[in-house]
Amino acid sequence: MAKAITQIRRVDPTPEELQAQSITKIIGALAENGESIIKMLDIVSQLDQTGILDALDAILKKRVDVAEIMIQQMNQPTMHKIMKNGMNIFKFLGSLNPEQIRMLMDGVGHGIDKATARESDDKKTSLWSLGKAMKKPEVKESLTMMVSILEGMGESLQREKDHVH
Amino acid sequence: MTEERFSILINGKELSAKSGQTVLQVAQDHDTYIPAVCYHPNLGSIQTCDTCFVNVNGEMKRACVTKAEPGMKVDSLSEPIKDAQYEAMSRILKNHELYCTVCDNNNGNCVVHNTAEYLEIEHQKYQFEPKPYPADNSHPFYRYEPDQCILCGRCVEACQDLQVNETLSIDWDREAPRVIWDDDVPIDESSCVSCGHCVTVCPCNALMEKSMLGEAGYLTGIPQNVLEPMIDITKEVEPGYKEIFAISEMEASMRKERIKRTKTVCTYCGVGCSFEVWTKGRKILKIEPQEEAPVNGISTCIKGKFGWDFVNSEERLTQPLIRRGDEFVEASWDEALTLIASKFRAIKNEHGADALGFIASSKCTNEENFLFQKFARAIIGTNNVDNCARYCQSPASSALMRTVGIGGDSGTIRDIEQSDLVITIGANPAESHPVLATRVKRAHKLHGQKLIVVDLRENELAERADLFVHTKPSTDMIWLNALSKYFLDQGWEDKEFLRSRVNGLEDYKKSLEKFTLEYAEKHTGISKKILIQMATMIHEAKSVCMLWAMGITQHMGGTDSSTAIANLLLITGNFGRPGTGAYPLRGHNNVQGACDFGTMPGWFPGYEAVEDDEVRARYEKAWEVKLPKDPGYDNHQMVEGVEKGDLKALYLFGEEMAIVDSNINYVDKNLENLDFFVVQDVFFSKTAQFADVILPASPSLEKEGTFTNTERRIQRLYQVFEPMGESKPDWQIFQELANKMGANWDYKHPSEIMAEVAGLATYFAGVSYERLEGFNSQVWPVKKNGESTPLLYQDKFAFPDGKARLVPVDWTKPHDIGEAFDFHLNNGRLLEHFHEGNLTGRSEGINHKVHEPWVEISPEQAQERGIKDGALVRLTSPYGKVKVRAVVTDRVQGKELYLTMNAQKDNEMVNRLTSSYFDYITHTPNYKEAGVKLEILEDEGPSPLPDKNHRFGNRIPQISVRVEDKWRREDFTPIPELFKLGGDEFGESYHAN
Repeated sequence: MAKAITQIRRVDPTPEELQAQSITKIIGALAENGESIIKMLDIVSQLDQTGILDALDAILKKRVDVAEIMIQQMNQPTMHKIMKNGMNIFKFLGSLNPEQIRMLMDGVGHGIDKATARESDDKKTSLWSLGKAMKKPEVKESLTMMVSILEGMGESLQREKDHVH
Repeated sequence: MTEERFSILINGKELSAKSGQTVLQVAQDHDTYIPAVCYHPNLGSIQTCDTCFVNVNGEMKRACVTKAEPGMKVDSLSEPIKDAQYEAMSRILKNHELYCTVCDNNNGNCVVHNTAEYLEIEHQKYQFEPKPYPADNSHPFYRYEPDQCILCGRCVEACQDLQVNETLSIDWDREAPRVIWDDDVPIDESSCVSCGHCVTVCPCNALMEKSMLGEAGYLTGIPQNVLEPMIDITKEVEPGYKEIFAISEMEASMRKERIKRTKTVCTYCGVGCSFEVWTKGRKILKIEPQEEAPVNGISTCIKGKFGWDFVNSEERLTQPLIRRGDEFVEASWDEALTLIASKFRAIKNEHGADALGFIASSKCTNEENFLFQKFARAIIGTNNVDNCARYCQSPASSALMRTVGIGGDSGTIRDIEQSDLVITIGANPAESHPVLATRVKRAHKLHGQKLIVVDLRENELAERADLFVHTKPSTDMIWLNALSKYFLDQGWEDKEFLRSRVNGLEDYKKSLEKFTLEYAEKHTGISKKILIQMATMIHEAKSVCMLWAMGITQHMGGTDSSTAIANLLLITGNFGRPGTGAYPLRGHNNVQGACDFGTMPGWFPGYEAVEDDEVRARYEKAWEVKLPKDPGYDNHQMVEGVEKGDLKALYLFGEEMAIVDSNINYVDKNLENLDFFVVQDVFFSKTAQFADVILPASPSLEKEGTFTNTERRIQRLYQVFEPMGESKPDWQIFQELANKMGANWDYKHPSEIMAEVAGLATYFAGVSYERLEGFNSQVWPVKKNGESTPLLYQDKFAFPDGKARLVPVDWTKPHDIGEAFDFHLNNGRLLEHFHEGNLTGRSEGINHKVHEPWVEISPEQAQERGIKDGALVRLTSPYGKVKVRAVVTDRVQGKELYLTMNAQKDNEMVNRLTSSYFDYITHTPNYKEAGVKLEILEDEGPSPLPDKNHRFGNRIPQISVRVEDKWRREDFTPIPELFKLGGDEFGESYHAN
């Protein structure tokens, strides 16, 4: 005779048993990764000494508040501009041909060298000598390039204007 | 029928096409990408998104509706085409904010995201406009966010024409169109049946499973007060979508690391839906159906899509339990198994092997059922092994085995959907086999399929049917025979088919003599006119499928009625061709498989008789043991055996016998009388309360194996979770117990068990785990080379001479309960809960929709007896009583009651009322022949059916999404008018497959 019964006696492990189980697990993992753990502890101790851990702790505990303040700050017109500008600058840099930029930068570098060398001469530059310099092929080259840049810029600005109208 | 094949040029590449295919389908077949947001292979073309415009021989056309023709030239990449597609996508994004990285739908499969990325959308061309409607969070399982809805209409198409529940539509007449439920009510108050189709097909995050929200992404759990400004910033800064996509894709691939996607097979009804389960740790994020699922595609029902909470229920059994005095005490596996082994051994030694009985589970895998019968036969030495098919479809199997040779569905769901005429008898597929019913509803709605429903109750299919026929209870066999006779009298029978493929016509004809239309009208209550109409419909149909369930089988003449169905199909020549056949709809996910794999008292796996010396010799050789020859006890006889004192011990797994067996007062008494009772289950079931030892098993998501659905289709399930606590997959438990009893089993994986079956049973010769990989499936009989047999009897019937047999049968009068019990009591399942609800009853969302059983009473009886909705009534039969609340409905007529099965309380269970009478051939209980007295305890009370239930909704039937209404809007400009490629011909909505 086995009547229907519903009583169940659970043999739950004692808190001590549960603790012992989990400690055994942890010790096993520690033993396997001894060296890395020691390194990590060192890093943690350094972080603690510098106070970074305290700051992190506070940020994590207050993460929603902090995120809300941060996001509020970021959600301002000036921040939008900074982000847009930042992204535009990145885009601009991305659109340039590195080889051309290298040539240009080399040129500018060399120019600066020359300029500082001239400074030490401490001689005044006459208008005449400037005019004469214009004839020099090196100067002509640079001027042509600068005019080209101005021209290109103008074209682009013109286009934007047309678009607007 | 051979398909015409030809080739067309897409972007200069020659691609082969089949006649009838659209350009888009040809492209997709060859992995050539053409954008298409609203098109879905399971839904067909909807024509709302306009992203699939292509250049077809110089004209701009939608690829999703343009039929491929030989020599056609298609271009999807040229400038104006790309511009047109870009324009379409830009219009979509006016309705959808792209904040992908913080969106829970950003899982690599977001159609809107992927299409926008393909079209290199850089900026919002049209300003995003939020819609003036709040999100609808009313439904327990999913939400609708109008602001994110792109109005593609996939959800509407799925609801109207695939699931055919006809709840969703888009109201194109408003200034800001949106999807509405019924006539614009909150989702929870609509006719929505929570099947999940709409959520599954939504190409973005407008419709989402609530279980995904805030869970899927790394950043999606961010609180609203932080998230909203974040979206603002993204919009304000608008770095260009390319950058957004780059980040969201990185995030999506990070998600793949922690979201596990596992293919599984549904563990509820016998339809055999398969899908992916998405999980994060032990949390189920969602069920994600896949187009490639062989039975269901993307279809699911409320249980398959949302009913999985039970897996992580805190009430799961996680430790073996042993009865000590008046309580169960937790024990170790070793302790429990040692005890079982010693008890089994002792009982066998004292009373013989046949003093032990084994009841298998149709919820568990094929491999587990195979091992269980092997345990009973080879380790214990008894054929006393059976499964719950005994409670349901054994009569159908038995009828089909004697007429056409194989006890299973003649074809697959493809045959049912392509049939000219579907007849359902004593079945309620829209609730009990919901996904199968969707295919009937779809074929009926869109493709002119005819539908006859014969039932006591006007169920959903009956409402939709061309002809609903109400019969007197237990008389189906009579009208079936009368139709056969009428066919023969009219000379309408398929003479050639009968001559060449069928035996026994003359004897059969003689047996029909008394079944005149007059006789049928008198006993069934169906008028002669209707009988002739039914016969004419069958006569005029080129193909007929007959579907039946418990309304036929659970009678004293269940096997004979099922036989009458097979006979009628033979007379009309409806076997062996596509779209024809007999379909007993299996109730459990693996009730077919449990029988197939040998948990039956008279059969080895693959229906080979245990009495057959040759067969037995094969198994004896393989298992190196002497096997018992005589068929053992079935479920019913085992209970009787306890009463008689023959059966001393019972081992039962995954079966709730103390609730689902007929006349449970009697069953319970006998369970109490067992000397030793082992119950193995996922939960502490009602049956387990009688046990001496309870073993904790793992449900389908915690193990591997295969299930066989109602189509005879074998499908693999993969492990999602580790077993909870100390629970174990059933096959492992059987193996450990067998080894405790001296066996030396060493199965490391269920695939090894399947390999053993394939080597022993001819039906499964070519079944293997490799061939079943992923969503692949095999339909038995499977030849050694792996070839399936989806459609049976194409060349021959499964008898030595290849001919079917007409088997004369006569009517068995139903059990006479006596005049005092003046109400006929019918019973059955509900859509929301599976069976008695021991799994689905653990889902809060499902309980929100239905939480208690009820009895349905006809309006005329309600009026006569003064019963209102919610009245508390007591039903009394000679065997017991129940107390439930009433629902007054015209689904039932006269003095016919319907008691739902979802009962967990002792005094609400229908089987307190059913008897111990049974089908005289298979011993299947006559559950459907109950009679009761009705007493009113309270005139009125709270309705047992919550008002937030689909039964109170108002469907809005229409075909598709009515895209023509969109095109008629003043703010709509056809895209071809904007670009230079000529016009387009807008056609009717098109429904492929």
